[in-house]
Amino acid sequence: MSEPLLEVSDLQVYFPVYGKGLVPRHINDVKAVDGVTFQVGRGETLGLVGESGCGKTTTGLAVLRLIEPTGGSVVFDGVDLSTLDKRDLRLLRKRMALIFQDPYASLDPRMSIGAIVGEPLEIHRLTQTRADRDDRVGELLELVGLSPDYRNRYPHEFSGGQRQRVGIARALATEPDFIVCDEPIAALDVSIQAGIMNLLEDLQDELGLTYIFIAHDLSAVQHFSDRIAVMYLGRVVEVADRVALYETPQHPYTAALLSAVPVPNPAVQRTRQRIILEGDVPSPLNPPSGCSFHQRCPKAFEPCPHVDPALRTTKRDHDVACHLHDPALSGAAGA
Amino acid sequence: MTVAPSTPMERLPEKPVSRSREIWQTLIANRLAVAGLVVLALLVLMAVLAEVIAPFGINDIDIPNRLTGPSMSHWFGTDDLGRDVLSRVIIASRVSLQVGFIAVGFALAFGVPIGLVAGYYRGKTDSILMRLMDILFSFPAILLAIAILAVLGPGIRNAMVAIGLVYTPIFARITRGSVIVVSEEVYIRAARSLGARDGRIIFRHILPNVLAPIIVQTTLSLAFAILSEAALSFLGLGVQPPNPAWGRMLAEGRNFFQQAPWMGIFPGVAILVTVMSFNFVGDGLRDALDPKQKSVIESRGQSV
Amino acid sequence: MSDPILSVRDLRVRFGTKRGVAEVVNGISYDLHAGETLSIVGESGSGKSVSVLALMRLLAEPPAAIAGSVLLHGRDLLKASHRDMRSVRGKDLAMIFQDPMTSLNPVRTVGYQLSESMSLHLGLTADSARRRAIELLDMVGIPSPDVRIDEYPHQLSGGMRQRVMIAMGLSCDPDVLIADEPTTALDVTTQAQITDLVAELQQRIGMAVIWITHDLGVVAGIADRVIVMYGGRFMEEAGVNDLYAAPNHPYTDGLLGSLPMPGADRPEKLVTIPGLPPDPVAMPPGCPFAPRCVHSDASRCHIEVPVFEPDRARHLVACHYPLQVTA
Repeated sequence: MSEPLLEVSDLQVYFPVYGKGLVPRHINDVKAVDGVTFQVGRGETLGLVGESGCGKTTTGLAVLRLIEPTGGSVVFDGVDLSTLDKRDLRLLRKRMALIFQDPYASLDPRMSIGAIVGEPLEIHRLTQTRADRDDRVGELLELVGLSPDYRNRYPHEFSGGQRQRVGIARALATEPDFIVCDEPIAALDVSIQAGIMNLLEDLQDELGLTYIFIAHDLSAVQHFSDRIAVMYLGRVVEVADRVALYETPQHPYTAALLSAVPVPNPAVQRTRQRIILEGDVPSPLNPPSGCSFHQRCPKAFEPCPHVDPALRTTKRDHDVACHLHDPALSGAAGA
Repeated sequence: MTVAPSTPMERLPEKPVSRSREIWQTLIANRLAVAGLVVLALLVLMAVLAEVIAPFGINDIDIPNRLTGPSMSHWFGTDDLGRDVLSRVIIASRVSLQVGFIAVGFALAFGVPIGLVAGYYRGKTDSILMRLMDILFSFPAILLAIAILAVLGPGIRNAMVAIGLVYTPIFARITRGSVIVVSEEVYIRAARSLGARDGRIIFRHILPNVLAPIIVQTTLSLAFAILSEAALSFLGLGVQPPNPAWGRMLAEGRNFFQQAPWMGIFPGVAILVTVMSFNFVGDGLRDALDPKQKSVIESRGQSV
Repeated sequence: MSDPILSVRDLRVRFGTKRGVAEVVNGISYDLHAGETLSIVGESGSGKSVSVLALMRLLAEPPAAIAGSVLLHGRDLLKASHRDMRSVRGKDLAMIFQDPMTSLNPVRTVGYQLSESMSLHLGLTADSARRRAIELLDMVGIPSPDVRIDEYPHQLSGGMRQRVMIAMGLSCDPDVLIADEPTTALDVTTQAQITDLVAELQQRIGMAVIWITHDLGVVAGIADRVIVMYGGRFMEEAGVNDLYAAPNHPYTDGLLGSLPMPGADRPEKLVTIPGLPPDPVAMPPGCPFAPRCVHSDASRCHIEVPVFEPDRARHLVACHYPLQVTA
């Protein structure tokens, strides 16, 4: 990994749960993100993968401080975001952008494409005249493969893939160096997904962007990312290089997730060894004691229900939070 | 046709009918709404040109011709002082529309910002503002208006303030409800992620997306405001004599209902027609503006 | 091969819309045999879901207009009365949907909804329907079914709800189970549970399954035969191994190429299919895929609709210039 642009340590996002009654009492917290630590190198793509409810989107939003973190720190290019006031944070937004999952919902239906893409330019006063702004909007539209002539059209006239391109153009308007892509292809048709992924890759090469790519689709994440962090119930359970994660997954959950991804090849899909997990993801309101995966884990052993495993580096650039890979305990597991 | 895969310049379907045009077409396809619009246009025209159109002065007293029925010279007959009922109905339209528009304008000017702020910031601000609105809302509208006029004293200006105050919570509630829904939209989060200030988010993104229900409520409230004004004038709390108001004329006509029914009927019909027209237009607007009426296929555009 | 249970012939579905007539399904024909799993694959707007809703007679007519024939055990469902259809649905043909939350009634218990169709079709008493409901919940892998039966849909997870839907689908031993994107709303590990469950139940009960999906990965694991649908028409039909090993239609080939494959090596670029699916209100003449196809030519593809050539019985392709010529 290159020099880190983003360092996230022990990030926590808790959503309070209140009781009923006239004066609602704070009774519990949904621990959506519960101690997440990772770094993203300059020009790198970190994939954030996990199933629904694992906290991956909340992590992405908290990293941008679009949701206020409950604890932990996010350091972006040497600046701790939690120390910034509203104004400084707004200025820093120029350098960080977000691409959304649903291209139908993320564009204001009452604004023209030109106004949508031009809005960040207006907010940060990046262009002086109306003509400058129009020129820049045209450039941005061309950059994402849309005709500049579309600037007077409205979002409802476009297909999903085209709208996603508009969303990308808007994200690029302020020339950010860091973009969080929150499930950018999940709402698109198969034949359109590839085009968006290729576009994001081209833009990264051309503009030297740094990405966090959030997705539930492990195939897409594996294709797109340099390194991958696997999340389960608000925690990162494994972080590794894309090849290492695929070839030698260390956490039993990663292994199960990989084996559950359907491979579009009947010869492979029908013969490979699959690990079918039992049951469902536990509620983040009452996470299990010890390792939060232990109830479903096929390899759980003595310490798992009691001791919460910490994320530790087991190999070069390969971190895992699992007692199986703790040299002090692994003898007992016989693994 | 082949397109180089590296630059996927996707074609755009031909330009569909614009949204505003579609709303207009739905509205004019509704016969009642069109009738309402036509009547309202005539009413406004009549109010503007009232002095030119009215055949007599509103206070031209003509005792010998008192309480005469409709005739060629007095189409709507005359009242107990021999004044021309038609002229008084025409002139009174001005007061009614004026009170309606100004009172509803007052309610809009206070209610919409209160709703925007309460719905956008939520929390304590919301609780305090909306509890205040609830207190206003918990009184029957006309009683509250009467109470306000009892404090401020009767008169047309105070009537406008009273009616405006009574309608403020309605606009605050409608606005707040829509703002809460729209605030959850992803495009609001998108604007925030770009570094937009609250003011920009509220006025550029939220307000245009909550306008539809406010417009509908405005139209319907105009009808009720005119009705309230008539009621207040009927009770002698609004327009003061000798100036004519429909409600007041109705009250005066009540005393002569046996001998001269026209004194009450014509102002009554004027109220009825005006209120119904606003209601028809309001209903038509609601149908035209409500996106839920559109099928999923159509609202999602070309992707069936 | 035995006689098919279900024969669909020249099925067409049109919708009247404000913009004109949308031709959503444009003459599709297929047979379904006992015990087999047929997968219909396509993107949104391909007409795959509408085609099965039409054969279940679950589309409101109008705006839909349905033509062709659907023979179930030799009887044409498109000519059946509403009463007859009600007895066919649930009993002979069962269907499970993408979103198990909206297809379950939120104010009724799981047990009530399960026993409802059984007392309707099988004439079971309340007691025996309840006993059978518990059995079914157990069969679809719901833990402590005697407790779960009295719960409401919102108390169950997404995977559990889909299991309940499957239990409802199976309650009257249908001959055909139609699954319309049943795992699309679920996570991959839950998806794996559900696909395994359906495969296992199918072995046990011997029903035929039509599995509608957009996910070529899921299809690779479950289908015996695959039909690729695009623009309301069938593009290609083949056994699952043939289709993936040697896609004959440029569209199938493009779809497969556009998928990221998990693995250590990654291609420099994914294959993209330029353009957009056709507008059902303005279907292009000729092959619906021609405007996006790199192999299309103006003289044939844009004019003449390609059809399945009947002599190539095992691997059918509707293309004037198929990619590979297999026997």
